[in-house]
Amino acid sequence: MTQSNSEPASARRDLELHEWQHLHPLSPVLRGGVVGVAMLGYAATQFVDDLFRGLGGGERPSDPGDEAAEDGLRNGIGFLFEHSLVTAAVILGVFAVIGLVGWLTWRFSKFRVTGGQLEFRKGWLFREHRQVPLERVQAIEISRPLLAQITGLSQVIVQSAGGGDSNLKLAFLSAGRADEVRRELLVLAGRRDEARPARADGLASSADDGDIDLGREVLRVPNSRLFVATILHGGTILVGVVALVAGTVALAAYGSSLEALTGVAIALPALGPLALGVAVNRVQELLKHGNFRLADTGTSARIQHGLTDKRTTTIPLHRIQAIGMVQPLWWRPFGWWRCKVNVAGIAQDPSGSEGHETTVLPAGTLEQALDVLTLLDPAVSETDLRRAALGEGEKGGWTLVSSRAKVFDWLSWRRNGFAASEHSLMLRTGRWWRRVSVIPHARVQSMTLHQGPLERRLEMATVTLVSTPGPVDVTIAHLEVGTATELLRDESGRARDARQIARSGCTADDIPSQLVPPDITDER
Amino acid sequence: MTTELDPTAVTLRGDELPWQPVSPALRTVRLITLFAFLTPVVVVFGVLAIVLSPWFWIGAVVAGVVLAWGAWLIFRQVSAISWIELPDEIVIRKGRLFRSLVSIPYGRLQYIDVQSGPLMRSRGIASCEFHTASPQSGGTLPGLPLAEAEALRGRLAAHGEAQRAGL
Repeated sequence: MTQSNSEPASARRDLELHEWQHLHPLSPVLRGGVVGVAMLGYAATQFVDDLFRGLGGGERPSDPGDEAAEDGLRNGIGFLFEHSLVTAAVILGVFAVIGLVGWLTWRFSKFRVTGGQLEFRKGWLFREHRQVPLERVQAIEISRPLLAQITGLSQVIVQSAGGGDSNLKLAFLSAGRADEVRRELLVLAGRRDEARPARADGLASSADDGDIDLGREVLRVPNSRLFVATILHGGTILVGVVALVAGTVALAAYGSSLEALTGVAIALPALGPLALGVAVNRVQELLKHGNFRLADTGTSARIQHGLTDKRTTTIPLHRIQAIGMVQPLWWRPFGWWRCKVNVAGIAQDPSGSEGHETTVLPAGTLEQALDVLTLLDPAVSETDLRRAALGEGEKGGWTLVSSRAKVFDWLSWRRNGFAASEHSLMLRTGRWWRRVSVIPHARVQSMTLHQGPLERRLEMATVTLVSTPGPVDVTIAHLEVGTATELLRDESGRARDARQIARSGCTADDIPSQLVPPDITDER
Repeated sequence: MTTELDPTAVTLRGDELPWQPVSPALRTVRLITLFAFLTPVVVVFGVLAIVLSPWFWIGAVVAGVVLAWGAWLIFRQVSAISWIELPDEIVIRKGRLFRSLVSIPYGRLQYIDVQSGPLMRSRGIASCEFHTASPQSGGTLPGLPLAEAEALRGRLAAHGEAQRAGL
């Protein structure tokens, strides 16, 4: 047993959840709720429609004994109205089938906790069985959608690391029962702190007002630099180039500069929407990253950012899965870099701007970037990083992509490659658009190898070291097949060893990586 | 069984490791699904061609070709899926034209889904989906015999328990 300290607790507490538990009988109704409401709404509108028509033309006198739903069907299936008995039977049948399916769904959905695992079975026709190890649980939340609120039910959402689909929803339980189950699960998962409500929130908020008073300030990004860096973007440059080309064409076409100017002025509105979109995007970026400051608290990085809306983000260092730095072509003259991290448990937020902050340096010099990255992962050597950022060729233990990759990467095939240190695997790509990714061996989730038809002909393959979802992608394309399989084998061994060290290095008590509930706290 | 397997041999295709194929029942299931979808299309086009205009034969022929191509693809794809349990990881290979190989260490498994629809169940197979902390690494192993799938899930859960590492 890996978690010896939770054993007595589970022995005491799991007497109830040990057995298969059913959800609240109303659950299927609630889950089908949206559809039901939509159908009711449709029926109601049809009914009103019919009523008005009946008042106006009186072509079909409405039958007061009928259901609203029945009225809704009237337009379509006139036949049924002639035979109200048949109608009643059909409706009854439909309800019976819905009821039966609902009952079966309820009957076959059940959960229990055994052997440190939360098991959930559902489905009668399409069966599904899911097991979540309790120690993998990141957070357990209770949510109440609108319909559930009305009926006094709650759903318990068990989150484990990973994407949106890795959540297990126990929908629905009565509100009291949901609280009970959540507490029970938290205790079983060995997270008694969280079972108490409002955990250390006071501390967090007191640290938040005003400045970063916890920890040593590492760097600030001047707003002037951020302004220039934000403007230098593919979108703005595209707009600029288009405007320039339009101007030149107009000049060539009209001959005189005055007429050309009017021509451009006429053409400008056409460019408007594009320019507006780019501008909005850039301003958002500026607002988000303005007043950027990074501080080091020893165990986490605290980031304060936001031009108008100040936010503080805490990234616990042990949650960082991969780090990366990027230099777009237009930042080259200034030597600026942007650094990003993958943080465990941060689900990919499709809304983007409201998502958690994963940028640890919006725009900084190479020295600053190296400082930040070595701060976030002290085991990464600065000289290695520098070589990854600027270097090319095989010097310093780098393995390059296949020389046949020239076909695909005719500029960067001398630079694209990887290097493995004892602690992590580094990867660099792009001659114009420089990109560096670093993933510690102990953080590799899984590995994949891909080979398309063209790659197969050239005997090359693409390797991806899969990290948790985030901005840093650790993919190296077009390696020699031999090199790729070798990398896969070696990395598999290194990852195994690193995991073993990580496991033996700490007891169940100090694996905070699994026990800290919010992965990143993004407080206002 | 505890002999040291040399992971050198994990390649995209063909080597001496005891790679396991998936159940041929998967082919049947996929073929049934394919035919269930496309046969009515062929028939409808055929009927239309006879009743209305011979131009509809084009549609019927196209649907027929798609059917044949799909069946050929299913034969190729299903025979290309193979998997193996190594001492530390489970490796799944798929595809012929676009080959892929996924290697998932036991210590990284978050949970395993075993799914089977009515058709699959009638043929006695299920599909296993492996989840790590990253949704993009998700390996799916379709077409395992039911008992084998359950056994695999149990085995991997046990392996995972023994080798589990923090994120």
